[in-house]
Amino acid sequence: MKNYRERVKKIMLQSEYLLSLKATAIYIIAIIIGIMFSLASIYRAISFLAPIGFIFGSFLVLLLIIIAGPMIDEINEGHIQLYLATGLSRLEYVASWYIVAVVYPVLAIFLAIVLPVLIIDPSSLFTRISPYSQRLVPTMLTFAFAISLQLLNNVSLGFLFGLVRKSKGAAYLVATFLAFLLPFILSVVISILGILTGYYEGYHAIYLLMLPFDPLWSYNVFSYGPIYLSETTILIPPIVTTIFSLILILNHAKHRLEV
Amino acid sequence: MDIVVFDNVTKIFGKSKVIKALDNASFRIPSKVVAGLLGPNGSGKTTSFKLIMGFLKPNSGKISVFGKDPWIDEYSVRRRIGYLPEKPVYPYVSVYKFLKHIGKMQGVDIREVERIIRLVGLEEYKFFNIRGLSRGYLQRLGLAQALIGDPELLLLDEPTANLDPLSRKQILDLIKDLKKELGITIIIATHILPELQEVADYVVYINKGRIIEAGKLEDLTHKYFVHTYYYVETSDPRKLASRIIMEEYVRGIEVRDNGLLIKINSAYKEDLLNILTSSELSVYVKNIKHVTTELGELYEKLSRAS
Repeated sequence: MKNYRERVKKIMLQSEYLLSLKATAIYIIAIIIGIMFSLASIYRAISFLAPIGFIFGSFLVLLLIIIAGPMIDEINEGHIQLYLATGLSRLEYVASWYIVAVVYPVLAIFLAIVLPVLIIDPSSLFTRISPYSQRLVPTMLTFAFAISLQLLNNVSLGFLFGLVRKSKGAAYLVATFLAFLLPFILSVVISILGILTGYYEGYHAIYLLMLPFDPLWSYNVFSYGPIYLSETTILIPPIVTTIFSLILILNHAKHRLEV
Repeated sequence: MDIVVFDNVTKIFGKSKVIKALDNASFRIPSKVVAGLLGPNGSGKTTSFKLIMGFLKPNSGKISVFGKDPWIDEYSVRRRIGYLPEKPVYPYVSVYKFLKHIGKMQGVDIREVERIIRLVGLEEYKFFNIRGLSRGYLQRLGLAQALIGDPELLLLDEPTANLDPLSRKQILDLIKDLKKELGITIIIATHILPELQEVADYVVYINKGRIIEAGKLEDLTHKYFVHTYYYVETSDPRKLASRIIMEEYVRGIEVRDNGLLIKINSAYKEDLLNILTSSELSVYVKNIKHVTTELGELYEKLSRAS
């Protein structure tokens, strides 16, 4: 138990140190974007917010994976040896970076979306504020969870590929693919198939591929139309893939990461 | 007790173009020695250090450091080692912030960090950004971070490379002090042999990933008939010097403090000892000890042997 506590303490110490060195500016940007989301969602409905959410969500994925980039540099250039020489294990080192690049910013963005609502106008939580919206609390929470899971999942996958390939390029490529290219490619594929066959609704199921990577998009696509999925169902795939990515990241760090 | 044990260790890099950095390497480093890890560029010295630190996983063979596998028990092994990499890359922060963080990670009191900063002579530069330090001071910083946490084993990869003669001497003096005061095991990989011979008492020679020789410097000196130095403590250095110089195998004598530094070929060790313990001279002789060996010569002979 003591050893476990010591390890957690070391991970937190290293995270705090990395945070002070690397990511302050990017954190500030992420929090500002989170607050913008929050303000937008107070005065607009979630359906109105969705397209903006897609664009901002995608940019946030890129922003967070950029925070993780210096870890790859540290591994390739040798900074990591100095940190590991202090008794930090490979797993602890990667875990501290994961916290800095993924957990802290996602938490910051989640809180930046949710908290201003409480501060600015708590009464708005329980009233309908636009003809488009439902009550704000469930909408806001669903929205905040969805975007947080989207970030967690996509950045974790980018982080995983970057770590395994020891390449920032791989991390950025995966994140860009998931954030921008995949939705675009799927839409194009469905459109082409629809044009060729004249039967659009039949190919709607292809969008299910987006479930783990873009819950916000999935809300838009599956809240009406030929395939209907509940909000909870939409949130499960990204949770599963995030946990799976995290296990692979930690396993790689412990058993395969050579520096 | 052996602190580091390599048992038929092989380490291969690359997939399409395979490089065997270590090829069935076996050697041992006993505790409390200053060991020189010698060999030409690309011979596998840095790879050996990385394997000892548990940064790399061997493809085959077994490595034991403090009786544990450094790849598996990385935490418990590394916390007992101080490591100065060959080309350390530091973050762009102040010397103090960096060392304070290393201290925190090691669970070391800030006063201990301050003590080490003084020990390596970085006091004046404590609040300088690491980016602005000269090479000599960067090496001091490297030594400082390696010394935090009272390591039992110190790994120094080319600690005096690219330094001017003065900085080189200062770093070397520091290593000598560490050997004398802390009595820890030190392994040094270097090309600067005349300097290493002042501190090393154990040698591992490695070439193309193969261990050519490993053993006490004195033993290797005798095995390869290398020139070696003995220090004879005496009550009358000048008288003893005037007698010893007559021996034709004596290559040099220097009066140092209350004794003589005598250079001979190790093949004549017995002859020297015989004459020093003879009834004629034994009255002047207080103590005889092996000081060092011409490492350059040993290196040359080992290179030829490999």
